[in-house]
Order: sequence, then structure tokens, then C-alpha cells
Amino acid sequence: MVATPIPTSLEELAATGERAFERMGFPTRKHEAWRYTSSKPFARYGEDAQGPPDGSLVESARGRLAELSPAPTHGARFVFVGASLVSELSQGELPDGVTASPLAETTLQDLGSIASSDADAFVALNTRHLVDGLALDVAKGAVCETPIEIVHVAIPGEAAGHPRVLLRAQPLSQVTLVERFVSLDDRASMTNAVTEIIATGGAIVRHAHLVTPGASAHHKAHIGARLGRDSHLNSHVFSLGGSVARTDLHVRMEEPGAGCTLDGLYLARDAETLDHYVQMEHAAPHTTSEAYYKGVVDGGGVGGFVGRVLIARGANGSASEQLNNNLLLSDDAFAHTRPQLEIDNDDVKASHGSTVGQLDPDALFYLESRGLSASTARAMLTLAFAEEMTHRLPLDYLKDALKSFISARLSGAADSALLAAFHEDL
Amino acid sequence: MLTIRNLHARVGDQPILKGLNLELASGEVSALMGPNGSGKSTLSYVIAGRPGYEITEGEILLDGQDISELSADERAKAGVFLSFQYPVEVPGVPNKVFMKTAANAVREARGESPLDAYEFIELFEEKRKMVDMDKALANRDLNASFSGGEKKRNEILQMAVLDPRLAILDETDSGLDIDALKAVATGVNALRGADRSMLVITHYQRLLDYIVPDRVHVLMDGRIVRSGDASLAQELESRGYDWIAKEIAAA
Repeated sequence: MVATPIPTSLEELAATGERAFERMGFPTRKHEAWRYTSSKPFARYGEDAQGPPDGSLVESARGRLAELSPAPTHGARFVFVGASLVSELSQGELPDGVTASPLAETTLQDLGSIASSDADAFVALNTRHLVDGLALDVAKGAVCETPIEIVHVAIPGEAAGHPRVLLRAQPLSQVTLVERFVSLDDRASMTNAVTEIIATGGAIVRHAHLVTPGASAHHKAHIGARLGRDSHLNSHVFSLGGSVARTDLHVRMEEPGAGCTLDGLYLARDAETLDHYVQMEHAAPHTTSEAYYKGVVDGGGVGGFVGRVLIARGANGSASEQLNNNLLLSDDAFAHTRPQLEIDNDDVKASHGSTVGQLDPDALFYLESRGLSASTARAMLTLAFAEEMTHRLPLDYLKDALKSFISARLSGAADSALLAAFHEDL
Repeated sequence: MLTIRNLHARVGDQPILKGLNLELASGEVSALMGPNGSGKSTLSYVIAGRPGYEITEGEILLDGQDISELSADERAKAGVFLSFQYPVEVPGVPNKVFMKTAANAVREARGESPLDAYEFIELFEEKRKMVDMDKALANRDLNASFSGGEKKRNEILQMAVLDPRLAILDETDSGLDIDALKAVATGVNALRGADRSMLVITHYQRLLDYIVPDRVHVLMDGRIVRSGDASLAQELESRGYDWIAKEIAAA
């Protein structure tokens, strides 16, 4: 890593982002991370940023929040409208041991330390527009029973919103952060979000990234995580909508014993593109990474997954596994899946697998031979395929919301009676 | 109940059934035996309506209705049940959710009212005990990580819940230890009834010690070549199939 001086103010940090973006510009297909996806739909919104929301936008956002499923019981919810943290919309109590502060009031040494402006043009752009944001600090040993939720409400407009979140989990702490991305309405919007997660000394962080914006929304997110000794990140990415949604997840395991479990589900339909770039960087010995992403693509949709594994020369005894399974429901649906392994060490285990296919004809016939119509059998198998990922997310308060999002997404495949039957608790 | 006349069927370009005639009566258990590759599993799939199994000639009448043009689910609704030789694992689909959906699909076709959750569980529990299936297992996903014996028990459980007119058991004994075999046979015997016909496909006499058939049919090279009572199965067990082939060749 190149040692960079610690910025003393957000303005100073923003200036580094500005310089970096001016040097790079929007990525083209020549950039490794953008070989399979065009950045043009995002670049169309330009380099500028939305201003802070006025009173009427805040009130509209309040209405939109009321339509969402409830905030976690006894947990805290923060609300960003565009790039601005709106304290009057936030609610609930933070778990003991957690402090929340505006970015401007936090120590800046960690900001940009994992989501680096020099490495990613969208991170640079987000950094360039840093005026606000949320820092969450979890004290040493604090075990948070209830999740912390951040709702990002995208506001329509010709410029992007650039929200920024920093989560620092001190040694032996445990915390769950849920970030939900919704749109104010059906008009076009652009979100360029950056979240940085730093876990040290045995900390366990669970992070859910739930993207359910409107059909005209553009969503670009970068989640960067640095994991210290024996710490673990459980990440759950759900991409359930948007015109084009691209989520980059970079996890760097910096000290021995660090590990990550990275789940993802994307359900693309119509002309949506839902793309994922996951980078697992093993920089220390005995580090582990597991990525498991599933996609269902219908209509003329596109689903994408790149799993890039970097294992450094000194990272002896490390292990990495990745699996990406895609289900195509129509002839026009498309999925690209690509593992990239860059391994500089012989003493490691690395495996990868991927599938792109249709529903299993043997399973379809089995269900049909018991009296289920072809459409019911297809719907049941599709739901089963997708909902495996909700079963892997141990957050009860989100389960119903996720099921209804997934059901709504797959409504072309399943009618409401079947969905009710499928979720019946027998 | 089931009448098959001059049935010719192929898989891809390969003809497998070559003019098969078979009559199964209501209230009877029939055994279908035959050497490997004679077409036993093909016959079961052709009756159940598996895609890719093409009927080129002949007819399959269930209670006088030709079912050969019906889709697999329509045949199930008409009363056909196939217990698979290799039941498919379907992770993510809860066993009971699947069975309730299937039961109500079949009930609707019969003009019966759908079972609500309470009624279904009552029926399910009764049948589960009948096949001696572990409760925790029955609550899992459909066949997911079930052992071979557990899968076969789950097939018989589904048969009991769906209450078919015609039940075809394809190699239900394959891969079963003796306890599982007895449990499956007990379930099958409990489901014998005047309104039901069963076709038990097997290689071996062993299963027929526990499920004693009323009739035994021998399938060779795509046709039924011998029919008889339970003693025919014993004769096949001791003498094999070659003598039948020789008699046919001599005739």
C-alpha cells in the first residue's frame, strides 16, 4: 500500500477524491473491473452531486419510509435522503456500546483506507462530494443484539447522490448493519454509495445490502472491508431491482485468522442489469473467504458475477471458495459469471464453481407427476432456488420483507395463491 | 381399470416398447418383472407422462379414458401415481408444503374441497405414522439429504396422501435394507384396496415376499411375454428369464 498522509478535514479528503477522479475519469471496458459491464448508464449522471434535500423532499421521504416494512424492533434506523443523513427521520435507540457521529466529527484516519479513491473512479467521485455521512463505532467487546439499519432513499434528479458510511468494529465486538436502498418514486435517480467496514481483533460484522429501488433507478455501490486478526465479515447482498445496479464488494483480510462469508442474490427481469464484482484479498496467512451468489434472470434481464480472489505470497494456509449459480427463466435472459484467481502461493486451497442453466427437468417432472401444473412446479422450484439466500440471513425482522420482495419479483412465475401456499407454516 | 393396447413407445430414436398389451384390474396388485433393459422403467414413465417418452402407436386407457395425450399433472389428477426408482431431491421446497399443494391439486380435480392447514396436517400425520417415517424428517425439504430408504418411505407417504387409482412402484426395493423394505411393504399393503390397482416393478422376488402379488407379468424386449399368478415370480427367481426367451424363440 502506498502510504498517504491522513487528511485533517473532509475538504482535504474530498480534494484527494477530486484529483483521483480527474486522473481516472469514468471507467471504460479497458478497466479490468468493467470488462463485462458498461459504466455509461452511471456516467450519464455526470460528475456533480445533488444538493441536500429541501423540506418537501424530506416529507416525501417520510411518506416513502412509512411504506417500508418496520424498522428493527428495539434497533436503530438512520435515514439518508440522497447523500444527506436526515436526523429528523432517524429513530430508535442505538445498541449499547455503539456511537454514531457525522463524518465531519469523526477521526478521518480510516476513511478511504479501504475504499480507496486511487483504485476506483466511483469511490473517488463519492469522496470528492463528501460533505456528510455517518460513522458508526462499536466499542471493544460490545455485543449488539439488535441490528442497526440505514435506509437510503434515492431522490430523482439529473445528478447523483453520494452517501457514505463508515463502520468500525473494535476487538471482540459483534454488530449487524443493514443498509436498504429504495427510491423516492419511479423517476430516474442515481446513487453512488460507499460503505467502509473495519473489523479488528475477533470482531464479527454482519452486513446486509438490500437493493430494492424503482425500475428507473441506477445504483452503484462500493462496499470495502478491512478485516483484522480473527475477525469475520458476513455479507448478504440482495439485488432486487433497479434499471442498472452494480455492487462492488472488496474484502481485504489483513491479519491471520480473518475470514469472510459473502452471500448474494440477484433477481433481474425486464431489461434490468444487476451486476456484482466481488474481490477477496488474502493478504495474511490462514485467512478464509467463501462467496456464494445466486441469480435468477427473467425477461431480457442480465445478471452478472465476477469473483476475484487475490492470495498474496505470504498468505500461507489460506482458503477460498466461490460458487455462483444462475437460473435463466427466458430465452432472452443472460448471465455472465467469471472467477478470477490470482494466487502467488502454493500452500493454499482455492475452488470455484459456476452454473448457468434452466430449471432441472427431472425435478419439474417429479413435481408434475404429483399433480402440480407445469407453471406451479416451475414457480415452486424458482422460489426454492432464490429463497435459499433468505434462509441464510438470520434476521427475522427482514424475512417477511425479503420474501415479499422476492415474491413480487417472481410474480411472473408464481401467482399469489401459490406464493401464500409456499410460505404457509405447516 | 388400466388397459394398455398395442403400445409402442420410443426414447429419442430408440424404440423401447414394441406392441405391449397389459390389463390391470381394480383391487389387484400386479408385479412387473423382466431383465435389465426390457422396458420396465420406460413403461412406468410412459404411463406417467414423462416428457421425452414418445408414444408412436397404441393407447393407454384409465377407466376407459385415453390418458396418452394428457400432461403429467393431468394424469396425476386422473389418478395415476408413480413412485420413482430415484426420487428427486428438491432442496428449498418444504416436504409438507409440496404435499399439501399436490393433495389439493388432485382433490380439486376430483371435485373435492381443498384441505386447510389443520385438515392436511391431520391427514399427513396419519399417513406418516403408517409408513413409520420420522417426524423431523417429514418436516424437512422434499427428499433433501434423505437416505435411499427415507426417500422410498417418502414416496409411499405421498402415495398415501394422494390416494391414487393406479399406483406404479418402480423398483421400490432397490437400495433398501430389510427394515426399510418391510416398512415400505407394510405401507403398500395398507394401501391395497378394492378401488385401487397397483403395479409393482421389481427385479427380485424379495419384495414380493412382502407384497404378494395377485398377478405377475413378464416384460421382455418391449412386450409382455408371460402372465401368471404369484408362483410365476418364484419360478423366475429360481430359473431366470432365459427359458422364457427360448420358449418364445421355439414358438
